[in-house]
Amino acid sequence: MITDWAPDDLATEVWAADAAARAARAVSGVVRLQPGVWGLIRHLAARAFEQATGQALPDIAGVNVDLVDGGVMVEVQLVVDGGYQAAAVGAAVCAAVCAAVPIAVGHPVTDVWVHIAEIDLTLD
Amino acid sequence: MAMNPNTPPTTHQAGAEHPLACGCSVEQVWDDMQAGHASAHAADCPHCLTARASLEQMAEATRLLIDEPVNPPSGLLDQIMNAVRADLARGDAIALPALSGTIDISASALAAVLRFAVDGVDGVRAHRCRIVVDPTVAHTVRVWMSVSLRYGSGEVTALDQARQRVGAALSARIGLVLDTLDFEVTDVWIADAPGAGSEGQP
Repeated sequence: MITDWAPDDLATEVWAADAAARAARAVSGVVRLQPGVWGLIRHLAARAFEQATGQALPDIAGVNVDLVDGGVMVEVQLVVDGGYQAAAVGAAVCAAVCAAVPIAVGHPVTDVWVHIAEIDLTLD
Repeated sequence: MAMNPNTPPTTHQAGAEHPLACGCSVEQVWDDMQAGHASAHAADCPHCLTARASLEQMAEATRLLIDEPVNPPSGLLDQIMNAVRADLARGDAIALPALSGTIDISASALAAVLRFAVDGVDGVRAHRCRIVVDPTVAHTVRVWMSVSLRYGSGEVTALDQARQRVGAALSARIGLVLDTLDFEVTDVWIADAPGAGSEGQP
């Protein structure tokens, strides 16, 4: 969740969330990221912003990021393909996020939380 | 569902509702909210109350979006319902094994997987499912499930097979271990009866 209005921190949080989202989506077994209500509102607002301004914001719905004491706390909420083991997909997402975010923003990931909101059984 | 500035565009059809853990659906909560009333159940139920609060947020956000000169995205209603359900699911998450960080899965998602496993057994239909974490053994769960059986399907054998499938699904699909599984047979149906096997069929 973007909590501060300092421009540098805001940009860092967006780029960290973007890196985490890309890393999570690239993991086998991840069907999609799943935003909650607040994430959806933010996503819809971003779409409206894009349509109004022509400038793209990264698709970070389903990812919340907080900068805390120079580190990054990442929360990813997603849907897993029922053909994969949920725990293994979650662990792979954790590893991918921890690897991708420091490269993108230069801050270490101090905590990562992967919440599996749904198993997609229609893909079986 | 009538269209007005507080009503998201509807694309869902009958039978495609988004169920809550209490047995109600997000659509029912929405309809009650639009009608300006709430049942005695909805007034006390944490699932319905949380869904209602989320829907009120979404109604306001949707109204603001409608006021903007942009087109609402396609599938908006499903996105809203999925977001509400995702928020609800965060409250009943079950921890999964993790070497680093925290990984958990919503109990409703887990229950859907287990019901799916039981439904794969001929003559057995899963209904309600409760999952409780074993407090003494990490990543081990106790499951209670109500089922209906087809009369003459070899009930004991079918339930044994269902039990094996639940244990296998927990291990292979989720990464958890089954401690106990209690089946409660709540219904029996006769083969070849019209609508056999459907929920609530006597």
